[in-house]
Amino acid sequence: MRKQADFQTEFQELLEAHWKIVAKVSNSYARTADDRNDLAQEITIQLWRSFKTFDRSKTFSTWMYRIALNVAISFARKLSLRRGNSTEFDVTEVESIPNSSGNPSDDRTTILYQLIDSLDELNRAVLLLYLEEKSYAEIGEIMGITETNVATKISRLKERLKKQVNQQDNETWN
Amino acid sequence: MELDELKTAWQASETPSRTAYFYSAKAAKSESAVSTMKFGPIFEIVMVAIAALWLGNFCYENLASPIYLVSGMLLVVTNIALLALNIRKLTLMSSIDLTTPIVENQRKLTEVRSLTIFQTKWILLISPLLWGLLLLVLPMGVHVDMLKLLGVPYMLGNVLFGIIFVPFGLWIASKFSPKFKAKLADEISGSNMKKARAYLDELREFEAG
Repeated sequence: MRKQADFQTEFQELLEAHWKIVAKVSNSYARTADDRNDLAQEITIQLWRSFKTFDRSKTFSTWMYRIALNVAISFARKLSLRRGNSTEFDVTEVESIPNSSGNPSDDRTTILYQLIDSLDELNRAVLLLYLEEKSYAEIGEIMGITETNVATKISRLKERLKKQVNQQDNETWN
Repeated sequence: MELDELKTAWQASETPSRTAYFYSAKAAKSESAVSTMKFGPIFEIVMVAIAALWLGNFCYENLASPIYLVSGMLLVVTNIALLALNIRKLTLMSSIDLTTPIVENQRKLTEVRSLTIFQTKWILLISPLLWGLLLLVLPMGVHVDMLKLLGVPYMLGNVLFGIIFVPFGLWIASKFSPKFKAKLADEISGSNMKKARAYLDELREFEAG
């Protein structure tokens, strides 16, 4: 039987190596810094609780994504029910949207987070997995939907992005 | 701009510090968005099952007294309904596994929530009636006949008190906590149930494509 200390060390090492997943999921599902911290903590709690059942023959990142997204979707829904508002983007509530350079004029990052925030929780998960270069098969496995369904949703997301960019361009010119 | 162009921005975006998250994870939080704590339903199932047995015995002992028999039977029916609801809730909660696909898990979590909303609503609505029945049945369990002891007007007064107590309690609660009032109003009016059902529909649509 493995020692508890080895078990903890293994978890800590894997968590460190894949921390980006927790951070990016938290950034995408929580609007304020406090909420993001709470969500990251809650994901970590659930990862630790589930770690004893983790099958080492499977990919850690896929396992981690399932837990992180399950927690994040529930967290976002709970917040929205508690606050009695929709989950749609509200710029007044957002604190320090992460960006690549610290430069607020980074258009692509702004567009990216606007797109993320405009989506419902489930489509947001699909987009995140797509941005993380997961294959359609992996996305389908994590979400519990077919590969064809994933392809349809990605295609709709692409259309949505085009519309959003066009709308912004029109607003800039007007 | 194509969606693939955003991948670079995504890969480069900042990630916050991870200091102390692991250590806080080891100290489990009491409130969780995906709480699968089963103590509540298990405790309720045990208590309700004990009560059902006791009430069954009560009904048998009072076969000759229609008023006590009917009161006991009504409480038995309520208990059986509560038992069935909690067993269903516990079964669903036990099947929730965060390492399995998201859509299925979200469906189970929402079904648990729907059952909790349903239970809260009906307990609130029938509690005035239950109060009167309990006042009659519980003392009789220890051979104290409240009807003989205090008379029918006193018992009717208590039923009336039960009917008044719930709206009065809600009014008091709303005075001290408007959020609590809104939450209760949502539970009773069924708007929380509508939200839960709408989310179940959303999950079905998402799954269908």
